[in-house]
Order: sequence, then C-alpha cells, then structure tokens
Amino acid sequence: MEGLIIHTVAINRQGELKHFEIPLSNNAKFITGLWYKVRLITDAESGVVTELKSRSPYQPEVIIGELSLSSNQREGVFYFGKIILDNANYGLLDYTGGVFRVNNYSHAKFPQSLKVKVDADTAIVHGYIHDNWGVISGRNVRYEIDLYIYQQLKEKP
Amino acid sequence: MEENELHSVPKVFEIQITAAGQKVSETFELDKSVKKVHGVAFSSEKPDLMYHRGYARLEINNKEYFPDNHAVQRVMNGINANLDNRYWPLKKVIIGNGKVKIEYTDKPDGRTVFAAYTVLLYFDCEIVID
Amino acid sequence: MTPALAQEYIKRRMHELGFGDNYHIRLKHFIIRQGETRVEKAYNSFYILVEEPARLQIKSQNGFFELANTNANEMQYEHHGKITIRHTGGAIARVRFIQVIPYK
Repeated sequence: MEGLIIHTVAINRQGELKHFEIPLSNNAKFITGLWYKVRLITDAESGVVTELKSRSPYQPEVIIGELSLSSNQREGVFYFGKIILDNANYGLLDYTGGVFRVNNYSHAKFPQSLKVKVDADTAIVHGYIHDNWGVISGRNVRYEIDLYIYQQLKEKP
Repeated sequence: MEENELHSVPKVFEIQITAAGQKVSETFELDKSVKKVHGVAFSSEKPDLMYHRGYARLEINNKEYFPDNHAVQRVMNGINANLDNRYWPLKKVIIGNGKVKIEYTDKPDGRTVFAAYTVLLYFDCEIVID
Repeated sequence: MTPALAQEYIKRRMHELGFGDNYHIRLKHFIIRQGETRVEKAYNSFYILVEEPARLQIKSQNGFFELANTNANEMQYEHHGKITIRHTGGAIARVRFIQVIPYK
C-alpha cells in the first residue's frame, strides 16, 4: 500500500536557511518517492525573477534553492539537490507553435517523482531548504514549497 | 449465469471555481452500473490556471486517494501522453457506496491572474450492460 | 557542544547508525586565515563540532554552521561528506572538531 505525506515549508527572507522535520506514518516501511511543488506568494510583478533571459532559445532554469533530506539512521543525506522553478524549455525548438503553443500544462506528461528507497525506521525525515530565489531577485521573496514524500506502508497483519 | 459484459466509459463531474482562493467541497455519486474505477483525470477550459493553482483532496467510498492540498499538477497528463495513459491510475478501488468526495482548493501562485474556471473530473470506469 | 557531550553524542550516534563500538576518533584543530576556504573530505567519517567557532562558515550537505548568520533557524553540529570551512572576515579563526571514523 502506498501513502503520501505532503509537508509545506514556507520561506520568507532572502537567503533564509530553514531546517524542518517531517514525521513519517507509524506503519511506514520505506520511503519510495519524492516530489515538490513551489508556490509563489509574493506578487511576481514586484521584481521576482521568474524567468532568465538568454540569447539562445534554451532558457536557463530558475534555481529557487537547495534542498537536503536525511534520515537519522543513514549516514549523510539521501537527497541533496537544487529546487527548480519549472521546466521553462517545454516546446523548445518547436517553431510550429502559434495556434496551439506547447506549454507544460497542455503537453507535459505526469511529472515524475524521484525514486528513492530509504528505510523508514527512522520515523522522522530531517532536512533543510536554503533560499536562492531571494538572492537572485535581490529582495525578500515569500514562497511555499510542498514536499511530497511517497511511502510504502506495511500491510496490516 | 451468463457473464456480464463490462464496458469502459468515462464518468464526468464538474466543479465551478468562481473566486480566487476558493475552496469547493462537493460529493458526487457514481452510477450503480459502475463496477470498477481504474483512474482519474482532471481537465479544465483554462488548464494553465488549474495547473498552477489547483489542489485537490479526493476520496472514494471514504478512502482517501489524494491527501489534503495535493497538487492537481501532479496528476495532469498532457497531449504528449499516450491516449490510454491519460488517467492517473487508482489502485484497488472499492466502490462501496459510490460516493466521490472532492475538496478542490484554488491557491494563488503569484504568476497567474485569476479568472473563473471550470474543473472537470473524469473517472475511467467500467460499467456493466445487461 | 562541549567535548564531554560530544563523546556521549558520538557513542549514541554510532549505535544508531549501526556501527556499535567500531569507530576511531581523531582530534582536529583547524586554523583558518583571512580569506581562506578549506575543503575537508569526510565521505567515510563524521566531523562533530566541539565548540562554536566565530568568524567561520561551515557547510556540508547535512547543514550549516555560522554564528553570524541571522537567516537560519537551526545550526548543524554533525557534518559529513564534503565540508567547506570558509573564513568570513576578521582575525584568524580556530575551530576544533572530533573526527569519527567508523570501520566494519
């Protein structure tokens, strides 16, 4: 059986470093997948960088921050990476667009969750988010990140 | 007894979102003829708004399939996907009383401008035809 | 963290990770000059801070430690993997770690 935990972390200040703990379900056996979604709360018009311009059609992705997740019963971290705003390059080099433009909301497939396999004996996932969005925007940016932790649950005896 | 023939049909339900940040809670009922539910899909006439702002909690027969504030974006499949792969698979659905409860929340995400929109909820069902 | 607390912590932490009593410890005392950045590779060991160093930023995938940082809500005493120790300005800074090397 699969279970899902959604944990929301709010970031308010430029360069903020926020540690948090995510309690797992009692009967969790493994952590099997990770996914995240970012929600901007500050108005985008007020100077928040939401896309980077480049000379080539390829658009660099906006890096919002750094995410690290660790289990207490494992050495080191089991996930460490950058949080990326959206895939800005949907429909890259598709010059047929115009009538029905390629967008991630119309053409994307199910966003893939990252597959991991971590023992869930630990009961708590510890992690932090280090803000970068505020740094590149040069101001405080308020946003929330929903972290999705997919877990495999023990079947009831 | 002769074995019943099952036919695959979509069941469609509709929710109206009229205000930014609105939370809509609705309960629908699947027809008695529905014997199996294989998957769920979301659609809208303004897919960009639903993609960025939509969150839904889904319950069938009091069993929770998507928890509170589950992003609709997670279960949206665009036209690049195969035709038979556009539903988010739901495993081991027990139809029971056939009640489908959805709590749809619209959350501003800073980059979209709100306009009223309709959310269509599709279920990939198998119905029995006598 | 005082050295006594660190010893107790290391003991329990190694049991938690399943190493039991199978570990060595080393004392590490780093001196970091102005503008210096030092990278320590601790992929097979753990660095436990035994004091709260001023004028330094310690960073690894486990977390951060910087006394002057007002933007963080927690500091990390246990570091693992690639550890970056950066001098953030002022006089020469010193920092002491206990390095824990587990073996199997």
